[in-house]
Amino acid sequence: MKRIYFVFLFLLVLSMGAKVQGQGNVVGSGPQPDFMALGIYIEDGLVPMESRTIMETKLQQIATANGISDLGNLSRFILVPKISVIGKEVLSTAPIQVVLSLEVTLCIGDAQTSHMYATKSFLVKGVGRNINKSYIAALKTISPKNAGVINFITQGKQK
Amino acid sequence: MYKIKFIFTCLTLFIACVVSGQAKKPTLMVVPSDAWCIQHGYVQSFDDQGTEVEVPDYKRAFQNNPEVLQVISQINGMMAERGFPLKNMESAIKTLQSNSAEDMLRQSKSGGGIIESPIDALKKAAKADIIIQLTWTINNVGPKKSVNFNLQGLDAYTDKQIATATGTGAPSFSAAVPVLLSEAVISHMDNFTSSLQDYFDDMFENGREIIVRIQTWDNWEGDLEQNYGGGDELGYVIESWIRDHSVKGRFNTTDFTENMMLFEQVRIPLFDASNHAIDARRYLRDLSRYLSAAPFNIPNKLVMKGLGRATIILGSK
Repeated sequence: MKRIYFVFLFLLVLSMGAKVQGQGNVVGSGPQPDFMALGIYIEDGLVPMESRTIMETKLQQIATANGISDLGNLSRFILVPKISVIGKEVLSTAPIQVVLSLEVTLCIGDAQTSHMYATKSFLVKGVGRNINKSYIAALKTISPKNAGVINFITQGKQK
Repeated sequence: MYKIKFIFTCLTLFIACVVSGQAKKPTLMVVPSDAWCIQHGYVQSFDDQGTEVEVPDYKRAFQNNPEVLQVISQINGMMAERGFPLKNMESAIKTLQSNSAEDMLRQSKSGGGIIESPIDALKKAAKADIIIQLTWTINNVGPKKSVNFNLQGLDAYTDKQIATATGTGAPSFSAAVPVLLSEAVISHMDNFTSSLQDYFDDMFENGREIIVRIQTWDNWEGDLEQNYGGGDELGYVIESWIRDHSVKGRFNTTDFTENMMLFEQVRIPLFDASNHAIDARRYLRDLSRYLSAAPFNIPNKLVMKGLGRATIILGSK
């Protein structure tokens, strides 16, 4: 009986702790923006399957390098990438080379109110033996420590 | 004793001249033509932003079609016999892959990896200064077979066709395709290699023909129509430099805008003043230095593509 009571008490403390952390996601109340956790959302089909993991990892690195990233899918504040293919060349060299120039736009938004707080666009370029490898090569060059990216996350959190 | 010393000195000087005086020789490689690859299904299809493009997949052709190996091996052999050793495309592709794997694995003691920009990655392709493009088709007339072939020697930088051989072999009942092709090509091979030799002779006499491009970085404040130090416009200054430094002043200005210039058929000497062999990059290094110095003071970047193509990009390194 004592053990059940102890487990119940422990769970109660845990749930209260989670509630306090959740309140931190509401703008203007609770903890400072530095503690705001950003979730990652990547639209299906945005990048080839083979390069999706590297995209996710890069975005998590960006979020954690500048605060906290939320690995769950229910975050209110999210970091969303958009990718436009600016240029693509397929070269008949041996081996075949695919050259990609991508414009990556990162957006910080509120999933509940659909408000967007900050955006940042930059160009990345990659070369590979097929389209997937080109995407991987291009996305690998995204730097979480880039001054522009850090500024963008800071601005988004402040808003 | 003096005689031995004299002979020794002469011999040393001769060897030094031979070693330093060798021009940079173009490399040659036989490549199955795009038409042959498409006809036999050795292609990869890509959606190039709304346009379906088919690109030859040479690696798959070499792996799946023993005929192409035999045919290229025959041509390589015939060319080598005539003093033109060729690069083997299949080996070049394998070497590139092995180098790429080595680069991926290489790590310094401090944990650093090999740095590679997208341009570095793009350069990892099988290259030759002269591409010998080969197309062949088999004609079946009843039980008899004959081969049509087309062999084109193309300068990879100027895109000029420098040698050609086309023809049809004698029909045969039983011979295999490589043998038929070998029989068909052999009678034209001497003309083909003779054209190649003419190209080399012309190069030694009139200089190497190269392509020179001048471009500008988009964050540079100047352009090619600007005057420096009260002189002529920058574009004309560059054009005059090319004229003064090409063999017999031979070159063509193909394009000229405020942002770019293209010079074709620029004949450059094979050796510099110190009798060292030079190529397009070494030749343009002097122009790069000239533009970096007063009164221009334009920082610039010199990039190359093989022996015969180099570009100077103005505005930054």
